[in-house]
Amino acid sequence: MAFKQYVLICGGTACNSGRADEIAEELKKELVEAELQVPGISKDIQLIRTGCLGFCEKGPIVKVLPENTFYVEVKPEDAKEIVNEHLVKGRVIDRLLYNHEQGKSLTGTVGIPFYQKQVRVVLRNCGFIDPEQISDYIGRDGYAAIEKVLTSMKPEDVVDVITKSGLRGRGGAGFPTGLKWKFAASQPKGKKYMVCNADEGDPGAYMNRSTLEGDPHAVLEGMMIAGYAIGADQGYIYVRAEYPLAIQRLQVAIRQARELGLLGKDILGTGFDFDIELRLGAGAFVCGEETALLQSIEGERGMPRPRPPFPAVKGLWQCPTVINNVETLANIANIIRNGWEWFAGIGTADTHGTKVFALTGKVCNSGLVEVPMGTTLREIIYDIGGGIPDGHELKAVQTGGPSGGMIPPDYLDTPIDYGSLAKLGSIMGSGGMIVMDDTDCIIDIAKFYLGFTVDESCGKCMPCRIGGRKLLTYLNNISEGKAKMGDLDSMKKICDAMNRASLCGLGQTASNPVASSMRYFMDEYVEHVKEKKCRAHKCRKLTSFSIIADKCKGCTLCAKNCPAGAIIGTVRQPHSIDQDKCVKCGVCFTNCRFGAIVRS
Amino acid sequence: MANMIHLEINGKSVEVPQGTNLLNAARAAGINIPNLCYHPDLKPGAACGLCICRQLVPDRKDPSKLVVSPKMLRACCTEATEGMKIITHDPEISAVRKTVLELILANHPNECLQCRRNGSCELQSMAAAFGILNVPFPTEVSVATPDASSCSIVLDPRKCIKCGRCVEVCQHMQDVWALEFIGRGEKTLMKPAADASLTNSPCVRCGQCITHCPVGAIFEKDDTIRVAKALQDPSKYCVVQMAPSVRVALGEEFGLPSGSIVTGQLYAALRAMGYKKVFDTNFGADATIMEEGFEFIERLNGKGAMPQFTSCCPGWVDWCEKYAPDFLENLSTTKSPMQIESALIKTYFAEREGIDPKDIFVVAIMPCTAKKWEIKRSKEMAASGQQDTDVVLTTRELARMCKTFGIDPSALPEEPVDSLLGTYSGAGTIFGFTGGVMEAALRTAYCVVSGEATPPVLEFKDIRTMEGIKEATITIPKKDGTKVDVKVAVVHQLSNVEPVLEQIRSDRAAGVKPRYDFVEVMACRGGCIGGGGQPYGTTDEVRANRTKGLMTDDERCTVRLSHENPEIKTLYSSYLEAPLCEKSHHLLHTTYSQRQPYAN
Amino acid sequence: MSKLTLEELRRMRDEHRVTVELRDSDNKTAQIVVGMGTTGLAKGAKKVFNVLCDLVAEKQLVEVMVRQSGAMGHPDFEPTVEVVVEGMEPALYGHVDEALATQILEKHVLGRTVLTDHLVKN
Repeated sequence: MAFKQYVLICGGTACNSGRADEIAEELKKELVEAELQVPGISKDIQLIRTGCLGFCEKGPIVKVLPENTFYVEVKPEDAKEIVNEHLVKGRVIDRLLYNHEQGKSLTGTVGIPFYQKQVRVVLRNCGFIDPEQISDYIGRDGYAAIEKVLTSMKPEDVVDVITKSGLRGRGGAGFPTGLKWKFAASQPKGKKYMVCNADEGDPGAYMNRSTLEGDPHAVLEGMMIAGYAIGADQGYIYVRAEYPLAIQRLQVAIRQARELGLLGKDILGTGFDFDIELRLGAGAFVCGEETALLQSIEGERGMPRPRPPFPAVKGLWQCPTVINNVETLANIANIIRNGWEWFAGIGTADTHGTKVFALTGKVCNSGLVEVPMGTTLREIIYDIGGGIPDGHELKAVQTGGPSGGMIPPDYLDTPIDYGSLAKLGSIMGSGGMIVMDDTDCIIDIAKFYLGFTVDESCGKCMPCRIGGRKLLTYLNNISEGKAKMGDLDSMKKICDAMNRASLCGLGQTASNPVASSMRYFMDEYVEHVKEKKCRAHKCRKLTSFSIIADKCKGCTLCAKNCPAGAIIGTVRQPHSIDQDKCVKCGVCFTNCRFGAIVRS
Repeated sequence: MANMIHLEINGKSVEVPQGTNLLNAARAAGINIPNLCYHPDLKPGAACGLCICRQLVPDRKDPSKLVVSPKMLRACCTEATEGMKIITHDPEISAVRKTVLELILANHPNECLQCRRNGSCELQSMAAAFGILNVPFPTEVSVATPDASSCSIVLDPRKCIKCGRCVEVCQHMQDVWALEFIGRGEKTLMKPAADASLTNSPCVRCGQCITHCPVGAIFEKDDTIRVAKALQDPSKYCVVQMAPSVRVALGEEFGLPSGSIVTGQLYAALRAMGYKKVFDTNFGADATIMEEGFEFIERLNGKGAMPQFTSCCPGWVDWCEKYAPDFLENLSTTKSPMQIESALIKTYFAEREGIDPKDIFVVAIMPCTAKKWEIKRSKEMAASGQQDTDVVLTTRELARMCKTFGIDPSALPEEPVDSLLGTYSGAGTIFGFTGGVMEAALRTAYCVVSGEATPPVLEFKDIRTMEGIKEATITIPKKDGTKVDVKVAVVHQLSNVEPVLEQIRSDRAAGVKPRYDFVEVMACRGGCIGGGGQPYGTTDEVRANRTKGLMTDDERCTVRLSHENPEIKTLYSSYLEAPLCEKSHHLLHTTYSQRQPYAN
Repeated sequence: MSKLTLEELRRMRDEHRVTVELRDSDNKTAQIVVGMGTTGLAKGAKKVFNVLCDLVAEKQLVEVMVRQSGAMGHPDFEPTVEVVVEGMEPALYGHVDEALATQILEKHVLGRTVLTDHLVKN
């Protein structure tokens, strides 16, 4: 079925919250209206809700194909113009193009710096296909890899190819995927399971979500190939309940695959049986940990199991089980189709292939980016990310979510791979990358992460349950000016104990934000403790606000907005802040148009 | 014959059976690796992180050399493998262990001197072993309120270190499922689900949670103060009885090895405490055999549901009423030895001595915490017109009372028991271990059915093992020349009950004769000698010692058949008339009713 | 839908490959731009656009993009059509109707021969 024009509306997280649903509705309405002018036009145009295009900073995104017009920051009110001016009359709407303010107006993505250095391999279908149409996936070589595997490869061959490709687990640990498959494949024949970890729990991470929403079949196909390789006939996708759209897309995809016999018994007549079921999480970050995930599927409390035995030997219901992350699985079909040499040719010697990162924080172009391993932090933050906005300075990059560490600007030219990040005291993690500038406080960021891991700790083992809480207490004290220098030594001891003696990865890495920030930003810690000063003015108890009388015009805006009634003054007279009443919320500081309020 | 594994612990060669964990392997080398959450009865919890050790592995750069791996393994759950080289302590390991211990102490109330486990607490011992003088971390002690709703067991969450032993015990060892991990992380509590209080939960009060708890977070309701008051009240005529299991365990609290028989000294100690009469529950056990043995013969001859289940264990009775109401008719109507003894004290003895039963205060020393509930479980527990047993004290409480009064049983000369309700046969004393009740009943049943004076074999070796479920067939020749095969099963540890019930249910469904005629159930592993009220430190080794003690006690008895006990003969000839007569039914039998696992 | 055999899957893939490739923008080596100036629209530029789209789809010419643009600045020659084929000079055709559009596609885009008679002359 061919159309004359295709309008793709980004259905990713940010664009949805930017009313992409409404844009789609309006476009549909406008097309119906336009029938009056141009009969049959709605038959000529295909509206597609596609997966995340990645350029979240500039969303909602609407693309028109095949001409490749790339509209940014679209509003539902623009639908009328898009239909009547562009689709009917062929007039591209300049004001909706990227960079039109700078007069550069780029229609396609070729000129957009955000996309220049990206190599969208895992995300190749996201933003192009309709994820709810299996035919779109098949038309893009979908299910060609499983076809190749089932007709011309033995299970050992598949394991061999994946091993040679050098693919490492993209969920965080970076364990060689081929090796994991080999362990499970070498277990005696019997019931085995293939599990996809779609519990993506790192705050701010949405790489897996975009793949599940935008290209769910890639994950299904990857699982099938894995199942064939290890000898499993049953797969489970453990997806967090907080991803209702991903769940819906997966349900549709599984149903469509089953209808065509691509899942179920005797797939493509080759005698291979494989089926996939969904299992939903229930709001526990720890259930993203392999063995806790297995416990959860079994109906038990989501607490990690001691290892050994490893899941590849004794996993789900004590059967050999391979658990792979969504992104890992999304790579499999590509590797089978293009060959392991192709994959090994991308990236560094330590890590092959690409990685999807969620670039967020104090960066101009935040969004989802996919780059070859070996791309430097500088390239990601400045070339792709467009650098730090509002003239601020880069302070640190946090990678790996709550399990990761903070990297100072000195290491910006580090090529990203598992080894190099580990050497810097951080981890690749699932791909979260948060950029921090001089208005961010290191202690505040560490506090945020520890607050998360303390809340999400399952509570089973003592180093994590108690150690994490102590670190958080220390960080709170530091941010309130109540800490002593000795506390920093205690914190180091606790970090070490948590890292060495916790039962699972959550506990073992929960101290990383503290350990890495102490390694590179000790002076900021000392400043908080000794001088009771927060240079980023983030720690409220260490900040005070005052009004410079000379600059104050007496507009009363600050006093009107002060929630504590702490600002005194009469109209057109300089105001002052009562320090005893001030709750340091900073509303006056943000609102003053005359720069009369200062922080210290 | 298990394969032997050879490994090195701290450079020393050690040989252990395959399947041994490193903790036990290290013991073979004379090292007790510090641990807090491990218990030999249970699957390793791997919670505390104290048992960490390190392995010597080939150097990555020069595989011919060995280096200490930075990774720390948990000795409790890591299986010893051939050729392993383990370091159990070095400066790094010790530093991490100390930090973990300090973290645990930082969240623990610092009130050893006023704690139930002062002197027997595993955390206390560990802190002493590490020489902890102060805890460098912020103290954050829970303020949760204790659950003292149950008459037998108190839960004090402030002291809980969340080792997980009690949950593992209650769920997997005892199959009661009263306790679970509720909440997550630092908010985790070990308590019943759905906010139920312990008394309204499925708890059967077996007390195994108490005996496995390393600290003072779970303990029995204290009744010593009430007893001490009664002993000092001149208006009260205090009478005491004690279970068979007490005499082979009490000595442990006074420096004697487990299984030491201290019967005579126990009588002396109780008299020294002020009891006016010292009787023995073993006499009640003999009476139980009379009633239950004859009840069994009746059922064997077609009068009553088969198989007959013993009912002397209140933990089992409660479990049956809550979880298996389809077996209520199978429970023997005969009361437990303790209840029989108390009923007879307040009727038979009271009438003989001319004492008003209202003035008699009966104290029963039991290895059991469920007995504290049994004494008021139904109206039949007041057969004498008032509550037959006034108070139950556990072996531990008795030991404490002795110490309070300065009485040391191990230093006292032996004294005889008081006559009328004190003499016992060997069959009575073996009630304390698993299989003992069955054996005692069979001894008498054999004689009654065959007419012979004594059975050919007094010890039924098949049912004396530590297997969870034991079976045996005893052929009894009948007086008319035919034979009857009595098929028995003996079950101990409540998790072993369900499989046996399921087998009988399937027999029922198939319409065939149930495969057993007589089943003995003891809730606690090993039987009452391993009960919830026994001295701390019960392991299989200790259970074996206590059992051997009772077996020796049995062998030393001149009378080894319940019906040959002269005081039993007197009871029946002068007071009761015959087993199962109307008076027996009124005083010595009870009824059962279904209970809800979660009340109101 | 019934369960696929290998052959059916391959057939399905070939069929849908054309569908997605027609939609794609990265694989195009020739562009046909149909001007939608007011005069052009009145004179049937939309029909020209439609017939070109239909032909491309029918002949499964996945490397050819047909798109619209606003007025091209030659109102007297509308409907105007610009043709840019890789390796050839861009060409601007005037007074294009459905028949000429078909010729342009076949002769210029596929046959790589410019229809000089129909070019817009200044």
